[in-house]
Amino acid sequence: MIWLYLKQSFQLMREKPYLSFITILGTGLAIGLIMIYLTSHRSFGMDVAPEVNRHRTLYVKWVGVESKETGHWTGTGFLSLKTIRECFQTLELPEGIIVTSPLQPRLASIPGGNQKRSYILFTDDVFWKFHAFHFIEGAPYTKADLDAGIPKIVLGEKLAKHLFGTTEDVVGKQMQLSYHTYTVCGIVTDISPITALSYGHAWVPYSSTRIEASNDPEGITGRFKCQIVARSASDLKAVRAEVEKSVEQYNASFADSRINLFRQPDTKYVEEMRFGAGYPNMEDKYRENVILILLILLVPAVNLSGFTLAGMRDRMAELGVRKAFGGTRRILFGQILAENMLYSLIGGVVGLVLAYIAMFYMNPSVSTTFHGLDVAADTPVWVFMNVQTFLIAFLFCFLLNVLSAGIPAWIVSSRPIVESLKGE
Amino acid sequence: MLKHLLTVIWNQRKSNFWILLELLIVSVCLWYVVDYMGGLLSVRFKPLGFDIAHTYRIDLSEKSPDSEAYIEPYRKTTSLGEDILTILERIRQYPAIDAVSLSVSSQPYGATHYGNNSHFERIYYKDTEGITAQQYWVTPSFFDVFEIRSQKGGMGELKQALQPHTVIISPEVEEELMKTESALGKEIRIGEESTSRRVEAICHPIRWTEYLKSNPCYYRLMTHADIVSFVTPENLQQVEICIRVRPEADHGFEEQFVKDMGQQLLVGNLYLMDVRSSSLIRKAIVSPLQSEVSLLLIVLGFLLINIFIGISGTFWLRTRSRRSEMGLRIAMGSTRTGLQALLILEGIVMLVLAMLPALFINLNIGLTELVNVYWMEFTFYVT
Repeated sequence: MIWLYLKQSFQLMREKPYLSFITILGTGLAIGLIMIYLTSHRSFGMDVAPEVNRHRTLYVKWVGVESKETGHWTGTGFLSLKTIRECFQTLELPEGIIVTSPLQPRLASIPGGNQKRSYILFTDDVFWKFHAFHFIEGAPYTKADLDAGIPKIVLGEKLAKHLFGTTEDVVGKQMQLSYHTYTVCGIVTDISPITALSYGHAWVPYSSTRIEASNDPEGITGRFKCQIVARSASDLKAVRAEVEKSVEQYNASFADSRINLFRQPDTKYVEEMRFGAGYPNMEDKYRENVILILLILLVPAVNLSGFTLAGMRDRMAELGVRKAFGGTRRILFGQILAENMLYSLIGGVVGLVLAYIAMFYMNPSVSTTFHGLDVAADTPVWVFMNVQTFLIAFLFCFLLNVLSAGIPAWIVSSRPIVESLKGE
Repeated sequence: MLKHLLTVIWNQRKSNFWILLELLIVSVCLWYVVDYMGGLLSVRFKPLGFDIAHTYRIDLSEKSPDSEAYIEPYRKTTSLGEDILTILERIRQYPAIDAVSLSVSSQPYGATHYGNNSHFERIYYKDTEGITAQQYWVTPSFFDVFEIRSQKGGMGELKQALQPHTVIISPEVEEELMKTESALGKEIRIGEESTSRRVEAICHPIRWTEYLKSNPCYYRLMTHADIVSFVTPENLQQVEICIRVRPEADHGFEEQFVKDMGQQLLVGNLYLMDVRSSSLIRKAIVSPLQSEVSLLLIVLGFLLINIFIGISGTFWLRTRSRRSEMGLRIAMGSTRTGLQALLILEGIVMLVLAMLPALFINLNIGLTELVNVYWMEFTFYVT
């Protein structure tokens, strides 16, 4: 039956090439724009190498300290190692806790030789367990290295080439970070700054250098961020509950201070939207997204429904005949939607092609982590398109179809037979 | 003819009402789009007030106590500021360089809100309550490095004018502080300073980026003594050493400079961290703004195409559904061209009808400043 409708619809399309063209163009543009928007937003939370565990990871980066007595804020900042140890590393549900610093600029040099300003990430050994780096040579530093504060360094390929001219036999050689000597223990292929939380030109154990402590008397705020890797994505809720308990215990250990995590731990998407200490305005963000997508859907839907209605008026007599021979309202309604689906589907394909072309030339909006740093993302957004993207595109085609043909179909199919037959 | 058209439109008022409504909405949207793009074009290509071609920023950093060859404070004979002056002198002697300047929170694209590195002061004239303006604290060679011109366009004037007891202000300061008077030669006070300064020159308007209009600012002299007393390890990152390179030497300059000068610039506990071209610094500041603007342009472009689709489709259908009327007209002696003219004129008359309320709406949107006024003021004529 559907096949017959589609055939009929195709015939109609050939009869009215101009109207068909602008209908498809309107649908295609809307679908394409929605695809681009959704894909670039999904890219914030999707697994992408080396951050392959984003789906089961929770993030904590800010902590606020308030006085138990007065409730006033006494400070905010990144976390101290003590806070991470007591609040998070004691958790039992998660599979692992990752500790990293924010990116730090350092001068990478070989004494008397090449030098280059580089961004260094200070991490623990667990970092390597949950990130899929590709080691060209060597291996990451271990827990023993971290505990002993041994100055070992994992270099990115580009930096290694700049310093040593090659990546071969570099493991075991020495170099300096801001005049502090390190031994190279591994070389990895470079990663894109899209993965902002693991990005760096080189990685070192956080215990290998003195990172200046904060001047907070209780030692709550510090210079570190924390990632909680759960065993599976379905565990995240339970992990959050456990974090709450653990924070309560931690608070009990202070005479007058209480920590506030501002609704953290975050999922990756929320983490991306969190700009500073304080509560992120996620309700606004979601509302903004929904409004924008509705606008993109509704504007063409209003246009297209006008065309559909006018097209239906021309065929009023035909519909009247069908009704006279026993076609129910439901059948007619279904037929109009099915016929119109052809436009939506062709439009959807056009939209996907447009989205692909646009995204090929478009760089992702660089994560706010890099705002003001001289780092540019060089990975085009289209790497984030996958099967799910197609499914979403299809869903939106269907939605647009219902929006643009639904009302006309309803109006037309509820006309009395006699009026329809007259073709008024 | 016009009367006839109006009668035709009136007779079909039921179906025309929707078209008129659509035209009304569309023309308001279009007006907004054109206003936005016009503002963008006008602001994008105005001069910035400086030139960053062939300029670089030199970043210094200080060794920490666990670094190799760290000099303990008690064994150090020079201050941090003196070390910087030594470094400045060594850079000045590097052959490829035209000019070197020292400044604090003043560098183009660097001294903005985006980098959290801008400094504002209140300025007072006589007994007025004063205005807030951004301070650029620079050595005279800063004007050479970034080729900053005076209001009249002269080079080198500003360099001469910047003296210990003078100040150079931007035209915005002159306008806001003095209203109609000329500011040249007047005495003004800056912030908490006890003595006043004489306005010696007026510079070209300075803008932060291509996407903002210029704001009030002034230049104050930085002497070598100022630097020695100002710099501490905590504010070292605010101290900007900027250089202008001879155009013919500006090929792979960064790498060559690091290679040649890396060792020479190890003075005290300071070392050369990096040489960054101004265009790199510009990119970091401007690209988030660019992506914001381009997102808006995409949405506006989308609206524009949909407007086109909607209008053309509506008129197409309208014409089709009036075939019998057309036939009648031809039967009554109307020619093909006459019929065409009639339809086109009818469209234009309807547009004019829709424009009347649209103009009123646009005016109100403009007056309530719902349009983007970061770029241009809302005025009734093009200046």
